[in-house]
Amino acid sequence: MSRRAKGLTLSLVLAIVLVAGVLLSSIIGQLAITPAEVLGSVLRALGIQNSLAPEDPIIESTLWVVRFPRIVMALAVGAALAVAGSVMQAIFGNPLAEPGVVGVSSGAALGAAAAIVLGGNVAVVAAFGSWATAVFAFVGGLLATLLVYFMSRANGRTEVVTLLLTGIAINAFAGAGLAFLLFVGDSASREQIVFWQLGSLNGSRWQEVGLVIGVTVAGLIVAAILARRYDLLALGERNARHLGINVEALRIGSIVLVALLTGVAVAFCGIIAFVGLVVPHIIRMAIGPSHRALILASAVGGGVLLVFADLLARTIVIGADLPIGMLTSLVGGPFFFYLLAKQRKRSGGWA
Amino acid sequence: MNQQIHGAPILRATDVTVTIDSNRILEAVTLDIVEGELLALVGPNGAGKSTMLGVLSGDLSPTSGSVTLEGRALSSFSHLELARRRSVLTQENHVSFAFTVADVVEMGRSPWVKTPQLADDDAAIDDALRTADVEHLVTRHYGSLSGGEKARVSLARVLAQRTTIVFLDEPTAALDLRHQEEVMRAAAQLAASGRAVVVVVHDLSLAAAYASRVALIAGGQLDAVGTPAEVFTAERIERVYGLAVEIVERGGRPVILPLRY
Repeated sequence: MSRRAKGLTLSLVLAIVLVAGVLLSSIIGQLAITPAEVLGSVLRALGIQNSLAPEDPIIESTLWVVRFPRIVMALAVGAALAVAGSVMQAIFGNPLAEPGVVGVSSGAALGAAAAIVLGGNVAVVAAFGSWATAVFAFVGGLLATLLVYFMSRANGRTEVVTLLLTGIAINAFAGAGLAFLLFVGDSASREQIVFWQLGSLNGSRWQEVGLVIGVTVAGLIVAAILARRYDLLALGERNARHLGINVEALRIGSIVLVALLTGVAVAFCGIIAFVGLVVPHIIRMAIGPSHRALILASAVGGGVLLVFADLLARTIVIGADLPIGMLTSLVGGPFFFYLLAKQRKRSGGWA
Repeated sequence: MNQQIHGAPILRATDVTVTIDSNRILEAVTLDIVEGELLALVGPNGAGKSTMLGVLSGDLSPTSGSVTLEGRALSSFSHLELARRRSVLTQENHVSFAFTVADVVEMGRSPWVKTPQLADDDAAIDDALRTADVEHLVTRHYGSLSGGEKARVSLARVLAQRTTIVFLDEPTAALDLRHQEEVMRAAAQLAASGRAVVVVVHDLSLAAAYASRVALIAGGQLDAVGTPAEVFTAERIERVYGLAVEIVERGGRPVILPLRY
């Protein structure tokens, strides 16, 4: 198949799976809603009066207050994490770089948790008002990304062992920090921190969804614009520079981009690991490594993955809402092993 | 090839000194790069050839001394301006992710995006693929190639960039006999078409056969610069390399043979 044909096939598959995922998530739940009612309700919201729309206000509010914001949040957060993963892999030149694995997510979670516990007591935190968690998640994520970057880059190459060890160290430190905050926090903060550690899309509100979408769309556009530069970066930093890329600026800009995308996802949904690892990898296998297509398809793929993961999270155990971060790690962990094994077979490990 | 085109120097390094961690790598080197000329940079391991290439290509700022391109300080050029004027083949070339040979060579065209030269893309890529003898590899993944094939694909990428100045750092190192000759011939042809080509090579006979001018660097200093016949004398090579050689002449060019007892 030519690259164009592969791209078209992938777009088609993603579009079908996306629509199916959104529709399934809308109709499945404690309150069963028919596809016709979903369609009718959406059309009515678009100003098209129709006979399909549900008359029952409970159905209407289930859709618009509970399910739709959650679905859109899943799409946005999945897209943000998958794009963050692809960008990270591009600047590290390594498919194992991922916000969750190398500690950016836990750095962001620590920031967010600190904002919650310190809350009204510390002027710096209070100054940001209701945005404090988001801002601190971003700062925590940014610090973690910078740390990972400067620890594991030497002479223009990523030292993979150092990259992963730095990730372990940051995850351990952030884990301890979260445990400490858990210890000193009051019971309300504790509940929220546990939520961050596990990750959940439960209780997504439109206001938060709006912010996540805004940051994700902006990040996606920037990443797509930088995509050609990321292709050149695959040749190594020196060669990229010889082809006219300002590598330093690209790196720093991309680090901020990764921290923003991860921070906004973590701030409202907690740590959802491995999305940024699994999605770009599968997309690369399907359509090749060229970054513009990879980033755009990863955004959709990440959204689709989280819509289904979330559907599973809230239906697999009846009456319970499982943490989605736990689910993605259950799938992502073994996938990580698979990547390691594959690399070992090909070139004898990462050392 | 014997009729050299001696134009005005496009790139001039004057009194260039490079000190890294209190080690003097280059000392007061002055060298002009001229369009239409194939300049071979030769010298023993660790003499400072790659550092010199780094200074000339703008990768490295000299500790003292100046480098000017088209009469302007090299450091005042933006990355993109430089990429449209000079291309560089580095010694080692590693490509992350499964990019194909076609992808990699096409990347050589990227400095010309949004310029009228973009129209030359297909011709530039085809020429480069043919010159580097990698047309049959275009659909292969770069990572699956042999060392010599990788080197030739990287060369094709550099050729596709179509710049006035071309730097080749040991382009023949991983190549078989035929491809060594072909690559040097291609470099000489580039020079004949008016480009300035700078090649770092270890094989002195290869340098002598194709270069219009040779610069011999030893111990961080420019030991000699001139035509191959001027630079490659038995005494000089013995002094610089610490190896006795015999020089024979073939087709007006010196051939350097180590004296083997």
